[in-house]
Amino acid sequence: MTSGTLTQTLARAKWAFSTRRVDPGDAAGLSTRFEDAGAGDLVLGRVMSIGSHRRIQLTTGRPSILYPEDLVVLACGARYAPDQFEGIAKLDADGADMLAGGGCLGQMRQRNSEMKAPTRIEPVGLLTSTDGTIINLADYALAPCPGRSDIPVIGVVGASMNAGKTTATAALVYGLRQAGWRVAAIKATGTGAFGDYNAYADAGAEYVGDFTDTGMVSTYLEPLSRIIPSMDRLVREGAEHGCDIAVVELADGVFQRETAAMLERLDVQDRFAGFVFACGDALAATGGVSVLRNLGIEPAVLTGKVSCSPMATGEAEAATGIDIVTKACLSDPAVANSLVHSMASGARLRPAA
Amino acid sequence: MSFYTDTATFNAAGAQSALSYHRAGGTAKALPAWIVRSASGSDAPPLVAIHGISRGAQEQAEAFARMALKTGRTVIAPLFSHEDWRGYQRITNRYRGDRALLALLRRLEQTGIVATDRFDLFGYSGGAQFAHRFAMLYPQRITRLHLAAAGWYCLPDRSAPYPYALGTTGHDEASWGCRMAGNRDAFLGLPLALYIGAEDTDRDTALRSTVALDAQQGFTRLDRIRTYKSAFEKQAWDRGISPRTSLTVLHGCGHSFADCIRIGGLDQHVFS
Repeated sequence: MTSGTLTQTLARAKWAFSTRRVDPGDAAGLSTRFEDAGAGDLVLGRVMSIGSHRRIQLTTGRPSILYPEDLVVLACGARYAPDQFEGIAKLDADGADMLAGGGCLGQMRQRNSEMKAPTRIEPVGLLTSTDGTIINLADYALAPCPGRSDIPVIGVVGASMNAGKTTATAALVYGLRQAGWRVAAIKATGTGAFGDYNAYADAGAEYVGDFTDTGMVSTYLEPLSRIIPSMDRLVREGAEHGCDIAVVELADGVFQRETAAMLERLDVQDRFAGFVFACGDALAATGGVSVLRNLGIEPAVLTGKVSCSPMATGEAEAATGIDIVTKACLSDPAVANSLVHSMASGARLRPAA
Repeated sequence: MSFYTDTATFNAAGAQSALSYHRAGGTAKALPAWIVRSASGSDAPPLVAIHGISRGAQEQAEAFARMALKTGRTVIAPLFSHEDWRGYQRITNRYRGDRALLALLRRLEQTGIVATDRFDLFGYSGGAQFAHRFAMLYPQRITRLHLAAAGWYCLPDRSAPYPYALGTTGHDEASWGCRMAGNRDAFLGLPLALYIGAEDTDRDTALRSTVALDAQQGFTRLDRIRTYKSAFEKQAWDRGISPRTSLTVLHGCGHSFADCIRIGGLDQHVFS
């Protein structure tokens, strides 16, 4: 393929959200050494069949309906999503699996029984630069920067995927913004997608960042030696954008491999002023809080789907002794503001039962 | 934008500034405000002045205009109307005065009138009640807190249930005490300037009087401001914070904002 043809081809392709930092003009060729592909490598692919992902999230922030034969640019990567797929960063020339709508292509290992088979993508080639090296998201990462920011960081963790973490994060961002804080909203772990990113931006975060900004399409199976500096870098980027507080969401549940490994580390815990824990019901609240307490973490408040039910709220508060707050509460500037200060002082937001 | 200005020229002390009435339409419960801006803007934080139950927002803006001109600072005097904001000084009523004030400040910043990320907060009488409760909710927004002649206070300790202090009861309102208690260290670190007329000792009809309140805070505004200062300082010391408080007794003044300005020089104290 000539460079002119490649340029035209790439211009027609649907570039996934995870590639948003990439300059398409840097692509000078294609490699079919798919066996060499690793996490973050950029892949030009052609849609073979539509499966569970019927849309691709574009760099422009809108979803695009996929059709057979569509050309797409995705990043090779792994994914951990108990509600959807687990997959690894591996490509097969005969066809690969679209593991996430945000642009993660790999090989599915297992899937939730309620999920259809993944959308299949035929790898056309790995994008290469003028010197023939495969282009990787890491080539476009924020420049490394030693040292950490000292702005307060609130962690949002959850019992599982879809427990309400992103809703809580966005609500807290909104509440803090109303109280006058300039808020950085950061997704520190997970798989690149614009849903959370857009939710944070819509809530008024001054800075929004995720691990794709530090060169990862997904943090699954990435070493902590990469994930933790990535989180620090994003918080620092937020501070450099003028933010005076950061809300950091850790993906999936407290049992998820990387999230669990991070929370176990005292030096990671020390990076956070406190934690908000999102969960779906009273049992998840009890179990999640127990796990966190075993790690030495006392959540400041509980939230998530459990907070929608007064009965579940009562059960969970009785079982854990921790206040449960709704998303409306987190959106209230007085509550959000008190949450920040009470994390420092250990005070409760509501009277003890 | 449903936010517009009626500007009138206002002369004070031979200088000229704009005393403007900013109306906010379109949003339910949006606050209007009287605003004083001098031509020689200063980087110093604006002064937000909260009126008492007589709703003297314009009076406060005019009273502070001379010093605002002299120092180049902006004065923002929001109006909590009788019709819409009965009991505004409690903040925690059905309509939230704190959120309305935050929204007003945000709008003023968005429209380029003045930066409002941090500000001095002043309140007279019922306005002082509003001001100290607001400061307990959002201490990081306040550069200096000025409380003049409040009828009673929410003490920053657990000596009584909210709203008289930050103690708890089973009542929903106790949550506010907990929220304010969560912010307490930041609040107690604020510079606090208290003002009271030396003759503000009448137990007038506007002064809340119950046996419990009298026992907790004293019989008069003069007694109560001293109680508040002591409680504030004790809490600060108990929590390892060096309090930065002052109490200025304005001689020749009773419970009158106008007299506190004219006779007591309250404006000069607030801008000092």
